[in-house]
Amino acid sequence: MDDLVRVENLVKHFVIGGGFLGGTPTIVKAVDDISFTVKKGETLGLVGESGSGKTTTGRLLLRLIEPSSGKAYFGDQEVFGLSRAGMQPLRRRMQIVFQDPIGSLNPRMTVSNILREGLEPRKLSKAEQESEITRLLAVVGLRNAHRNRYPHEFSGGQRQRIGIARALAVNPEFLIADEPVSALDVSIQAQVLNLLLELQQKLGLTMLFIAHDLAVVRHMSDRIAVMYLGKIVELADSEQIYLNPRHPYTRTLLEAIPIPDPDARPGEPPADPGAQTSRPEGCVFRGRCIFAKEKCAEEPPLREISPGHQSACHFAEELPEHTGGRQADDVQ
Amino acid sequence: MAQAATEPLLQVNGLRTHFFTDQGVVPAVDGVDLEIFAGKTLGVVGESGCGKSVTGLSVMRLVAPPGRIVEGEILLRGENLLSLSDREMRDRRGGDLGMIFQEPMTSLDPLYPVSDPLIEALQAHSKMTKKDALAEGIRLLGAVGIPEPERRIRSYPHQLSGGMRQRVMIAVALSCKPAVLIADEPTTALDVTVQAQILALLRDLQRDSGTALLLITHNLGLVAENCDTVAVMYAGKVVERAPMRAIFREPRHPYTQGLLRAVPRLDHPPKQPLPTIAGMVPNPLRLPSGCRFRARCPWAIAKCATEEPPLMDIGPGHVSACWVQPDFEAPLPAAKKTGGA
Repeated sequence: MDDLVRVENLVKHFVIGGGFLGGTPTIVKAVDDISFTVKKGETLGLVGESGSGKTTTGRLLLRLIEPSSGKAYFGDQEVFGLSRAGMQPLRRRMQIVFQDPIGSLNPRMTVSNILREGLEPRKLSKAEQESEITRLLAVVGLRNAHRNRYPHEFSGGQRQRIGIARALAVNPEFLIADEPVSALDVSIQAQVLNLLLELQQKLGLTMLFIAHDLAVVRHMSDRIAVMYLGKIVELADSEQIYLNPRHPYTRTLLEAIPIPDPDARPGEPPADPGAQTSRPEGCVFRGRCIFAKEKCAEEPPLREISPGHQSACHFAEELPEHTGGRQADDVQ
Repeated sequence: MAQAATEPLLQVNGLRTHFFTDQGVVPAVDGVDLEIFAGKTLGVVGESGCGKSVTGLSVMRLVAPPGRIVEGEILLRGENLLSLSDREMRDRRGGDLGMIFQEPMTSLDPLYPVSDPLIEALQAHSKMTKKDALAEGIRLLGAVGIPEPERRIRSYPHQLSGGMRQRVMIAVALSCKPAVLIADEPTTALDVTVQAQILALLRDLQRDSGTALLLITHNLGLVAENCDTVAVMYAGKVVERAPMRAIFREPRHPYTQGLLRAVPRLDHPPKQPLPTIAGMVPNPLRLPSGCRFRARCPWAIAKCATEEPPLMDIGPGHVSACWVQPDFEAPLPAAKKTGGA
């Protein structure tokens, strides 16, 4: 089978407020009926701004939180129907790397203890454990001399390497990287991104790469799903997302990203009505969309508009050519 | 549009701000020269710990102990801010000088509605009645793009989104029409679409009032789209300073070149390894001899260990502190093996 992960109609609603003090409970549709697949050995990028549901999606897949409804398959195994015990063998096959390496590593444990804990499910002998720790450190580019140090003794980039080594301890097939470099400086970010690319190639990892920075996501991903207010609004090859975006939100996102090149894009970013405070009926983006028409009051389904390219816009095919630049006529 | 001035509005000469810690002296800013002209934007770029934020705080004279400005001058229209009394300096802040910080939540008092800092700032520098200040506050919130400013001015910080809070901070900073605005990573905590709006706002205000902007950022994209000149800082020093275009087209310091190559770009092919800068920044308590970048530099020569390179003139308005001054297009010398990040 080609797909390692398959997500079907995944929904997560959070209820906020409405305790015994009264008040009307509000339902936040953090993830609102999304479906996607991750092929074996590929990286699917999940990009979106705050509140898009990208982080919640990653956590749902690992069952760090429980979904409201929907299904997720890992290989042939449906994940959400499994008991706690049934989940155990799966947890070894999927791992996560978090944004904040200092918050996700136990400050009282040395690096070797952090890794030893990660190795536990493999039931290795003491000697095997030690040689695995040495191997893991080497794989992520840390020195064996680092093994007896504590997380605070490392720089941000090194801590992220420890986080990656910890995730790799169980030889996972699937790695979720949730904003793995957004806390890091540019030069260190490049080192960690290179490490992830190299590990994927060496170990044949399948990855879900979650980030808010589309330039980073594009750099890492074979395909990209763009999320907005809990929905996937566009899903396509990385190349297509950049060269031929077919959802107005993807275009807004692309145009908002400053490119470190004075000639890349003359002119100023287009006006954007800005974040919405409430979620409209119909298309989630229509309050901000410069192409919105009456029909957008009907919710557009995510549909295939060309092979491998999905968009949730009624007018996906009719959008003007995307120039990649910032031109006045883009904005009308 | 402000007329192009020939004299810099703000000039920083030989600034040294050191931190006197229990472990020793950290030279966070170690001999920095900068100048900003009215209506122009100077970008100060560099990574964590390079001294860019401390430079901004030094100009505001807001460096907290154990930090202290130990040397240099900061001239605002020729007047040295470092020789002013605390009281005089307080008048400059929120008068001629404004500052916005990265995290708007921590710089707004959660116990007061946003009208409070606005009215306070407005009344501090002009004889305005509270009623007039409130009206002006509402006008300013509208000007920074806050919808329904009459209602929002009564909101408490937690009731506003990050982008809205940052707009409030900008409104507070602008309330006194500062001649110089220091913006320290003003959009780093915000979404990219909000970032684009905030920067558009700053550009408009600059165009209207001729404010000189000191934009402190690690984001080279923001630099390309917003700055007139750029200073690149590394380990407490400016290592290269040039007109914006020259920084991107003909960078001559290996650190600037390394930074430019290390950024993943939308318009580059995906899944290719990025050229990295090997190693990491030196411990500020044990800075190396000579050039502070040499241990990470592919171009380092023997002289780099013994003599610290000064900023050398290499083009119009372009200085770089490197003994080699390699060409950006030149193939890198064989990489030295160094430890990971």
